[in-house]
Amino acid sequence: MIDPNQVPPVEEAEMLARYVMQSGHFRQSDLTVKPNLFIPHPYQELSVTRHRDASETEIWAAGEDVATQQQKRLYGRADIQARACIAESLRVTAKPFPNNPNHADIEGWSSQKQDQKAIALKLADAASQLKLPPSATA
Amino acid sequence: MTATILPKGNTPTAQYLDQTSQEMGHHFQASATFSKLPALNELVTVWEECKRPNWDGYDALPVQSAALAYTYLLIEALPLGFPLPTIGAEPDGHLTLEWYRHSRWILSVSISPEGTLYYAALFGNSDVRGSEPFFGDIPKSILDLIQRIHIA
Repeated sequence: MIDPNQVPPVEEAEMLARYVMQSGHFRQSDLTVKPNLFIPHPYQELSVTRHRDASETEIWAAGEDVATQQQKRLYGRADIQARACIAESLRVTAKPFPNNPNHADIEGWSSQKQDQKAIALKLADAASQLKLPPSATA
Repeated sequence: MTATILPKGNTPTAQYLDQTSQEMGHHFQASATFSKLPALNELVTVWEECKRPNWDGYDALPVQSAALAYTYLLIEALPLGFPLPTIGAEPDGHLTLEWYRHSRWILSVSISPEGTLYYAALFGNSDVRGSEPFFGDIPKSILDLIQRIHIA
C-alpha cells in the first residue's frame, strides 16, 4: 500500500477499485456492473481504493475490511481507470484513511440527477467486469 | 341542448355482449399483469433488499414506499409488447428501471418518491438525459427510448 506519510496525488493512468456489496449492482448473466454502482449519494463523492503500490491481496483486504465494517457481503469489485473519471469532468482525489492509505474519492459531480445518471452509465461502461474475491473462488 | 346517452340495450343479446366484454376486459387486464410478473416480482425483491438504510454498504438511503408505488404503476403502464426492464435501486432511495442491450446501449430510468422520472441513455457515443413527471402514463420520450434500445 501507499506510504501513509507520502501519499501522492492520483494520476490519470491509475486503476481504482469500487467494491460491490449489493447483489443488484451487477448482472449475474455476464458479471458486468450496473451504473447504480457509480451514483454518488448521500455524499457528493464516490469512494474508491487505488491500486497504486498495493498487491492483489492488499486490495482485497481493503474491500473485505469495508464489507466487514458495514456488515455486508463483499460480492467483488469493479476496476476503473482514473482517466475514465477525468474524461467525465470528475476529479479523483486522494483521501487516505488510517486503515486504508489508498482510499480516494471521485468528486466534482453535477447536482442534477440526470447528469449523474448519464455519467454513471459511462463509468459502468468503462469499468471492468465484476472481479470475484478470493473467498468466492476458493 | 340535451345530451343523448345511447342506451346499452336491455335485450338478452345486448346484456350478453356487455357481460362478455367486461369479462374479457378483466381477463385481458389479468393477462397483462401476468405478463409483467417477472418485473413485478423483481420489484418486490429489490424493495425487500433496499428498504433499510445503508443497503449498499455506502450509507445509501432506504427506498421509500412512495417510490415503490410509483414504480409499480410505471411497470403496469408499460404498453403490451414492450420489453420488461430489470429493477434496481440507487443510493438516494430512488428505484430504477433498466433496459440493457450492452454497456453502450442502455437506458436507465429512476423513479423518485415524488413521482419524478429521471432518465439517461447511452447509444454508442451519444447520450440522452432528462426528467419528466409521471402522471400515470409513461411519457412518449421514454417509450421512444425503450423502443430504440431494443430495435438495434
